[in-house]
Amino acid sequence: MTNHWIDIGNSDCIMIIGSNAAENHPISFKYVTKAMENGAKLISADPRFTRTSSKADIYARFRPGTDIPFIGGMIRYAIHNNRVNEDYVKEYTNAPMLVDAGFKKPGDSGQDGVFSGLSGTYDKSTWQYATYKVNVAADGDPPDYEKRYVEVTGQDLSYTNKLDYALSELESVDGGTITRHDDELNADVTFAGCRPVWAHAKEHFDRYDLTTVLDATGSDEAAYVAACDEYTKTGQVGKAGTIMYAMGTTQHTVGTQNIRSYAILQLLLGNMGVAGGGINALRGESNVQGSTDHCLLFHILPGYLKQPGFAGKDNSTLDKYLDCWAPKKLGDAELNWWKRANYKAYIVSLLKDYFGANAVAANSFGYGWLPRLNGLSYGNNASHITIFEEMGAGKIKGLLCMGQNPAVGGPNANDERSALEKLDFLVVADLWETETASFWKRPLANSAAINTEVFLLPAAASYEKEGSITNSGRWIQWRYPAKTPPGDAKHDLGIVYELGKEIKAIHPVNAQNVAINNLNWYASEPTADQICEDINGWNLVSGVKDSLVVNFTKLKSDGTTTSLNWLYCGMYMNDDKTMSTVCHAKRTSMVDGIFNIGLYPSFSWCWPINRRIIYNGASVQTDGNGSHTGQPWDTEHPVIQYNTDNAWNYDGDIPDGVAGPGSERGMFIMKPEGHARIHGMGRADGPLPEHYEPKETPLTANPMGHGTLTSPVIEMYGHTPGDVSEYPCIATTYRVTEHWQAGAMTRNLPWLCELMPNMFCEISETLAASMPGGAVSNKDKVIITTARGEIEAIACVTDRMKPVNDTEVVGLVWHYGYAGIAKGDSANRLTPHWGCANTRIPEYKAFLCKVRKA
Amino acid sequence: MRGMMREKMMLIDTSICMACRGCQVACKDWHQLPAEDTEFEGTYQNPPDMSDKTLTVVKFTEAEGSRPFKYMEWLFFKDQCRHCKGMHGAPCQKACPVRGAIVAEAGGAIVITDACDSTKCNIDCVDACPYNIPKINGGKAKKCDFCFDRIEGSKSPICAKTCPPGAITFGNAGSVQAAANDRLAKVRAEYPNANIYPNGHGHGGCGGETRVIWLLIDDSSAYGIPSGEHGGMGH
Repeated sequence: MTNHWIDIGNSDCIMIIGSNAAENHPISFKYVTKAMENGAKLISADPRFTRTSSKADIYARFRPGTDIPFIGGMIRYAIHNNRVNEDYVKEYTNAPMLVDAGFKKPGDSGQDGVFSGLSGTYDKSTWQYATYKVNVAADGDPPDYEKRYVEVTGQDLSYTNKLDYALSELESVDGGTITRHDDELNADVTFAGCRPVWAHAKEHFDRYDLTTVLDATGSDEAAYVAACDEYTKTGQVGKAGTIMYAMGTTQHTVGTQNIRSYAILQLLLGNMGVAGGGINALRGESNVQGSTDHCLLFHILPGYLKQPGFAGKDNSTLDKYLDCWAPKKLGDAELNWWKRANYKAYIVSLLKDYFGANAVAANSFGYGWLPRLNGLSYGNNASHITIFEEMGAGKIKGLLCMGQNPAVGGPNANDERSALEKLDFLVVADLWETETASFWKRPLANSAAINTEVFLLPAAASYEKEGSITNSGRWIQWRYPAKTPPGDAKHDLGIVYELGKEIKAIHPVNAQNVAINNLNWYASEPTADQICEDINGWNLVSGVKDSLVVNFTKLKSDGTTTSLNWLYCGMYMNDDKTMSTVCHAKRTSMVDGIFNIGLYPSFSWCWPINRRIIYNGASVQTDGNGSHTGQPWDTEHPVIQYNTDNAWNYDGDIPDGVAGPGSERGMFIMKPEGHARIHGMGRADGPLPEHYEPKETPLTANPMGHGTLTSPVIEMYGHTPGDVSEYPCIATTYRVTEHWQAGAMTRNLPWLCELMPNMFCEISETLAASMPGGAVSNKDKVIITTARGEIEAIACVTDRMKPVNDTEVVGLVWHYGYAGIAKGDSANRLTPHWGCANTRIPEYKAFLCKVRKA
Repeated sequence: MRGMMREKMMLIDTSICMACRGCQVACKDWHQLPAEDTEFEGTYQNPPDMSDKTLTVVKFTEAEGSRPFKYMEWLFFKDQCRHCKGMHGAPCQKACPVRGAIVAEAGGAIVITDACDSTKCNIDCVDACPYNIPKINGGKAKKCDFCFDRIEGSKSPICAKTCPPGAITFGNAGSVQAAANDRLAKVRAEYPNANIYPNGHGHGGCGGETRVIWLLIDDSSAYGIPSGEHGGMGH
């Protein structure tokens, strides 16, 4: 979340899309209800009419996998109905910046649905800001250099000019020759054929007209237009709209671009950084935010530092790593938070903790001992799907599963269960014997032929262990144990400590084991507090931990500080009076901040540096002169407010890198240009979201009218999609309130099994009536088949399901498996083994199936 | 009724309830009741009805939409004992021939005690109840007890405490009645057929016949529940 749970209550319009918050995040509805009691409207956009929809003012159905047309049409509606906050867009986004002359979009002549640069994967060079090269005389003095020209209307190349143009003027910059003065050269430079972001974006989204959108989404026209109208009203100054989303958004081959479409909509409406606004990812477990922050993903290290070798880059030395990932600022006034000095301080402090005294400047603090992604299969990749493909191919020999049950939760579960058979050993740490732990005795398994050695480690439940969790709103809260774990059960920290100790013990000191040999490990089992203090980080004196680092601006790149995660610096502090440490995450003050917008700044602690709403710099008004006034757009719900032009004289939330009024610094300091990106040139599949069908689609042509039906840059892992001629229905998977994820925690609890005892599927009355094998009634059994497998489920025939554009949609809960009290076929035996172009999250939400009466 | 406890009421606002069924589970937890052996019945509603093991059930009903941008409504009704008022006690209480089997407790809770013995009666409470609440098993009648033990300790019933969106308001009768009237006025702007159920509530704060009341967004017939007309019950 850019904002946080309580802040939802400040919203004027809440759009829940790709989420079923009432069912899967019930507590969120405390704040949704509060907003509605204050007059907010609730929009539920979902292929199914859910318990969330039941509370909505507007329910808009759309076909699974058509989020981009749905939101693209809303963006177009905002532009055509003057709902855009022009001042915000001009000064806080990259709308006015020039894009390379070679950039072409899917709708441009000759592109046939793809962006420029496609050759297997995308070469993104034409997606970047316009550059010009200065070649000086043959004597090489001054040397050649390249500059990015980031802003269109100024008279020189820095971002210092009065922005007194209108967005419509940007559109009129039509790709002709633009001449601008370069102060450094004291010469004019010209850009031929370059156009600003805004001109491209407006043209791109103009293709998402109502007819095209409805053709793609199958939405009811009146409900869709009402949703567009209601939501885009939040573009009015002083109003805020929020988007709550979850896995319904992400689990698509275009998952990342779905979120990009939300980001663009929110920027156009001026909804980023303000109270009651933001892009709010509802994380699927209480500590998913924490696990992401601390890098339980293959492509990052803690604090979102890149894993060396990501995307196959040459990161062979620390210098090359920093050259690759730490950007140079674009514009003299910009803060460019990921600049080299910061990036280096964060990675060196991390390495200094990992490798302790063995990390010294001469060995680049042990950088070379970090594992690299270079050379891994399927595009230097180690995502969930890749791991199981490699396991199935016999290349992965051991698997450690903690708090995860891939035999139920993983895609294409038949194949993933078979892949487990190829392992030499499997370690599962869980509360129960899960389907994963018992895969070798699953129905129809030939146990005698399976040689995998399985270890089941009893784990402690959340009530039995101490530590922090980081909620979706980035608030770090402390949990205390209510009881000790039963029997031999251990908390995760204890399990990992013992593993680390043993791994070090059995690896003799030699060149091959150098990383393990040099790893700094605990002499005895650490407490949760000790780990969290190390996450916060220490100032070292003569290599010894001396005092806690106050915040991440104090981290050093010379090996004199440690920190396991720079974002969490400041979570602890030294209390000099008691000579002890104080954990801010344990704070429980119920006193709100000065503006009473629910920040509760002394309740728990929040990264970064207790900032409750990130990008909050954009909550203050532009001054029409390249800076801001320091006064909030929304005077009813101010996030920050400046008393003078002094950057340190303000009330409210901790400002997000904002300088005082009058400063030319951009509001989005994580970007080198300081501006939020409508045009986002870093993604694998395009700088603007374009609609592509799911890999299994009922259509034979893209409704956008071009020849590229599905995303051209998806790793298919050699699998072939099922065809609509054999599988005429769309299937989508989801959770319900009563069960938790892959079910281990709830399908073993009788009270919850009573509520949802069996695997079921939701189908429309029309599908029930026309079912192959005979019409089915409520509670009859049906068989659902895809190109991966076949399962049985009890039919729930309901008016809540409807065909879209004459294609039936089958809803499948994915909680069930062969272990526990409540058993049933796993929906994931049907789901495909491919995923998002950027993240590889599986396409669980849209695939093809057929259904018949059992 | 014990002590000087003031008359309590509960408002269940179905315009806010999202049927997470936290109340159903919390009720089992507080009363330490076992799970029932259920099957998926083609609806989220489960167990299908109240029983000696299940004292409250959220009922799910699909109805036609009455608002411009919603083709349907999914109606949720947390069913349970209404804890009827009445000059001579609740209908079940009046009908019960067994001394001390149905008594009034803290806050006005109508409670079936251990004295209940269905072999000594003709299950008169079941016949008398206009809402089909008491369920008989093993010689005893069972139903919601308003968590009178919690009320005695100045706590709200466990369902009210659990409800995530705050759909259940519990408190002194006058304030709950006033809250119901306030909410009704607001909700009617969106749902013209909204009403306070059972009848006799919500019209000028005249008081009513039950201690548990609901704000419904449509007629009770749309929810498939008894109308709430108290045949022959005293005011």
